[in-house]
Amino acid sequence: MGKRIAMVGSGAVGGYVGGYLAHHGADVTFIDTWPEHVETMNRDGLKLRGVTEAENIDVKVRAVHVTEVQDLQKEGPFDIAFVSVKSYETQFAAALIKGYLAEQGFIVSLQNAINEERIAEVVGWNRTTGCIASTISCALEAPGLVRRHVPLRGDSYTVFRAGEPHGRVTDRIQEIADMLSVIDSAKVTQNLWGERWSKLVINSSGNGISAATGLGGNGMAKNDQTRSVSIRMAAETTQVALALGFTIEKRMGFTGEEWVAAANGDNKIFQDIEAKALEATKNRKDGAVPSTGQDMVKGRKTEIDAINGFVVEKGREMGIPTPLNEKIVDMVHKCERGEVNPDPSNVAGW
Amino acid sequence: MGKRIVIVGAGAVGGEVGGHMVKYGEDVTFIDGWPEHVDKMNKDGLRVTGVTAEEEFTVPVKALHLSGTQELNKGAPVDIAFVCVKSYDTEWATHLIKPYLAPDGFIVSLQNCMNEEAIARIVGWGKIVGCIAAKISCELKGPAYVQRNIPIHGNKHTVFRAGEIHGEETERAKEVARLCGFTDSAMVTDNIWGERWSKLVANASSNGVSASTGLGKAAIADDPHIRMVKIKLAAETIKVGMAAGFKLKLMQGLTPEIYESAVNGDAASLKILEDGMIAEGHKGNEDARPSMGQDMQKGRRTEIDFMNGLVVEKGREHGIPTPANEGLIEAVKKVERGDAKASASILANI
Repeated sequence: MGKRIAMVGSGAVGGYVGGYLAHHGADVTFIDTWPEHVETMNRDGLKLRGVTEAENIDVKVRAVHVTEVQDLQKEGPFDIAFVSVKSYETQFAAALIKGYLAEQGFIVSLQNAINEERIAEVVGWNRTTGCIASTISCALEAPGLVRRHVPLRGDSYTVFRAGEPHGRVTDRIQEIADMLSVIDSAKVTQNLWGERWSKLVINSSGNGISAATGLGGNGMAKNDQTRSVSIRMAAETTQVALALGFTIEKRMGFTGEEWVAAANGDNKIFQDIEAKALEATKNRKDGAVPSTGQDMVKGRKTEIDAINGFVVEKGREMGIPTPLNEKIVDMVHKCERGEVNPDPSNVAGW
Repeated sequence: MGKRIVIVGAGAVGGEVGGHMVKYGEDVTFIDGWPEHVDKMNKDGLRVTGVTAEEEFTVPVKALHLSGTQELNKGAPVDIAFVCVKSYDTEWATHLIKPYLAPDGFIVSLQNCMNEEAIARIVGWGKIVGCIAAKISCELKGPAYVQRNIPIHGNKHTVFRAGEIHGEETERAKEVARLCGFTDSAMVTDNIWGERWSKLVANASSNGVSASTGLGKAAIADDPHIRMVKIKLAAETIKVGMAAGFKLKLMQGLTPEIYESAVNGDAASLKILEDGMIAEGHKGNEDARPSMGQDMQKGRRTEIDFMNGLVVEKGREHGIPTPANEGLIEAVKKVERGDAKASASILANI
């Protein structure tokens, strides 16, 4: 204890994690760009809601507007800064907190997509670590109100995976994992990049399609065309990850190599994956929509550039063609600008 | 006309300049971190006042909270982004607006100090134009209310000097001068570096002195030791600027040699400088304070690292010792942290 912690971005994940840390006695300062949210947190505290009654807590927190950050220098620097903003605001957030970090202070990217490189651009690699929050499914429902939609995982599945970019188990990364373990299961991963890419395979083959078609997770799996596009898109991303030398986790029981084979003409595996995708709809609520799809519905800018755009960029570096990822980036941008309405026909013939 | 302009930081200068652009029909969006200011601008418009009644106007404006920045994603990309934040906020402000710039869009640093390098590190040298606002003396009096404290200069003194890093007179630099010209006299300069550094000579020798001593301008001018400190600060800053190869424009009739010999004990040179300082100190409001003196009074973070800190940094690059600047930084920081009270004696050892 005694570490000073900043949550840069107090949305769904930042609010959830920071809120529980504060509840367990950590010294947490929330920084956010949404004025109403900051004011509500200061006035009424942060309301955390989960699936069970025991998870529902109201916690008193301290939140500051960005314009008040300059005032924080009087209180001594931060030891740990969690960055949990949208990917396209990563450098902004890192640059914002950089001047207030302690000499040994560092940043934890608690975000979707792969933003460690963006953070390192601003503060250097020695101050950059990452943490995956896997299938945590939180939402900021209203100012000061964060809800988790799925049960606590506990031992059945490790939610938080904190890691150093170089993979070694350092004291500071162990401290992050220990700290988060009061919230839900947490571990140190020695394979941060591989885990990030494994998650990116899932995000890149679901989020953009959801935003471009207006379908949720189940809708995409049940529609023949989107299901097929999704599998082939996952294979593209997997191929880029494998070319980069990362270890990709099995998904739906199939290895990365098997996903690539499915997209390249192995009909047997392709059909097996399709069957698994359909089976998965039984355990998922129809209302579940990936974050990019949610952003589109709300009229917000999406993370498409950081998800599929990132795959395209890395594919180019490695000489792997990624035509489907390119198409979805274009299509989602068209939908964002209002030139095209989200509709399943947007991916017809892909 | 037709250009999409964003003002990042709608404080004293950003509000003044942006408000005038809106008055003359330009398409301007303000972004600011102070929630109350943004809300009031949207509700009641931006009020701008000057020394005479004719200068006062109120215009309806579009203003976004930082969390609203992502809305820029809709509609045309941004052609010109004026960054008018405190120097220590430069990097995050640049990161914040970068994703929304048009391919030929660019950033104008309309700030104190010399932040072009910091901005170029983020968006590249091709996307930065500098603009000095000399002797504009504006103040954000309250939410949505900007006041200018001195008369319009017009032909007597050119307030705005917009310039390319390379000094060429480009169309875009002329456009910046045109836009600033709604507020007061404006020109394109072929010497942005020299002008910036000349302004820095004045700022580096007065802002920190005011902030650390807590004195108004007449009291400073009347103290012989503080006068000498100011001369030392100016002499060091001039020396560094010359070593860096900047074309300096000093106050009328003054030369770098006068500062140098005054520091070395030449009575005639010292008298020339002291007479000038005393006369200036008793002109107008005798209790006036430069921006940093105001910041200190309000308990806000100062720009000392970007002002005298820049002198020290560039001095090191060119092998010029800057002990007076280093001493001043230490004094200002002591007062900033609350480790010492502002007083004249704090500069005793410089």
